[in-house]
Amino acid sequence: MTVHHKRLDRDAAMNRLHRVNRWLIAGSVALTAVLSEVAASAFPGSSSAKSSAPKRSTGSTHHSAGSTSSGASRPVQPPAEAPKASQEAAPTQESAPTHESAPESAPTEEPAPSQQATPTHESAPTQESAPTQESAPVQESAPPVVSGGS
Amino acid sequence: MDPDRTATTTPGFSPAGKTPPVVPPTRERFGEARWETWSTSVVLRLTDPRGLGAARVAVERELDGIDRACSRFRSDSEIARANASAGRAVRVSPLLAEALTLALRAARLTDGAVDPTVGSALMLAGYDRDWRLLERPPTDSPSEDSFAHEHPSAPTIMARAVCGWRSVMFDSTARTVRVPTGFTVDLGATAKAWAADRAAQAAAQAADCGALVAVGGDVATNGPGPAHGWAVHVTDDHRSDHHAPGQTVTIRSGGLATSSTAVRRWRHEGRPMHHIIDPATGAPARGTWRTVSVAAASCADANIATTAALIRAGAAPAWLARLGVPARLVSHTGRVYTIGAWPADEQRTQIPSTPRSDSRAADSPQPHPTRTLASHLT
Repeated sequence: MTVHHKRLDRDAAMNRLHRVNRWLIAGSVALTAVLSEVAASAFPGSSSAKSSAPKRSTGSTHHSAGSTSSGASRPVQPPAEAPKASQEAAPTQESAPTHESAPESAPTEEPAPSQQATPTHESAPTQESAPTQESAPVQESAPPVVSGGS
Repeated sequence: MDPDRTATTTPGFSPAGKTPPVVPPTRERFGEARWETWSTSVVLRLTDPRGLGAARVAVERELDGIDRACSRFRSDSEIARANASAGRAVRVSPLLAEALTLALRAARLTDGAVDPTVGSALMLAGYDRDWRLLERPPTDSPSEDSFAHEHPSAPTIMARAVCGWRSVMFDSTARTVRVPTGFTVDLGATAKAWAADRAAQAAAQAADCGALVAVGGDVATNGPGPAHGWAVHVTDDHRSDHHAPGQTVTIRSGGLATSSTAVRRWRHEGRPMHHIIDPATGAPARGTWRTVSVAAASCADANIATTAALIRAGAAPAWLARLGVPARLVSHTGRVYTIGAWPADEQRTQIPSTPRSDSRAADSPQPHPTRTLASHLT
């Protein structure tokens, strides 16, 4: 009787140990998953597969995922409407030597006429012109905003 | 006096800490405010002056947010933290993510001519603190290129400190960026013009009218403009007045940017420096052009083109023509060239545009597309 009881107690204890072990294994797996997720969020990085992705011949594929987002590769957009000469400059345009066909050879350090980019209207200024009178309504109300290097 | 009709003006440079003088408005049709930030000037102009107060608040909020995200000179900025964490991925805000997307797009479109990894090179060149604290060169002649003319035979002794934009790992989906170890990302080449675009949009929305915002000479517009367009005077230095040598044009929308090597110059270890860094050398650019102005659909796009043109030097005219953007280039001797639909300048040389049928090449600009033109340049 006593021996039988001891055997039953041992079997019961073994069963409890079995269950505890199962829970411990399941818990450690779950904890590992949680910790992995936390670590991945805290220290994100790129996988080696992504880093070693084959580059295009243009070299435009870099590690930036931004390259695939919309607009990230959009070319420089011209304006909807080109700038216009301010009305104050109109009189000087008419009198300016814009149609002189002076085949002046450009200095070596400046872009010279070429087959691809031939200056058709050339003058040889050494100083830029300053605007003179303001006559357009927009200038009557305010001077132009200045765009320059900064 | 209606505060919305008050215009503050800051003629010339105003040191930090000093309150700019308040000048009563002399112009009635526009609402206008001027102030200093980021060591440069801001101009806000509205078609309806009644919204000036709200618009200025919106612009200042926008610029402050961008400063906190993108400033290399603030130790508490997001980009400073990303640079300090070089080698590790850092999660960034949507604002900085947008700025990084633009910076990397600029690098891609210009084949690396506009590179956000020039930060270390800028610091090597002495630009390691606020611009106002740098030593100015004794003579600051805008018509003289510091390297090509002042020291024609001076060897470049700066270490090459540009690692290349492709080494920046940016994931726009996860909004993480990893700066390469030992290098610094600097968004100065693109962030100011982008800030002008955002500020103009914020101002137009706040005031419910047309708005123009100029940040350090980078001009952005938003909303319905004046009947005759926004008048903009292009010149070497944005702190000049509109009588300075240059040209006045009007734009109806989009943006207009000007980049110049004639300004923001300083002296470092006895050598004159400027802020346009050529990523190929890691040193200030020794280009053909002193000043380049471009009009585009946005100020950010215009600024990408102007900065790249200064670095591309002789190849710039053909590249700009392929992009289809109107441009005005001034050489170091003051000769003016216009490209595309840029309006006539009485003292210019016009370089004809590439036919539009060829403009598809703009999607993949080549670094030196026009050997014929480039061969004439030094």
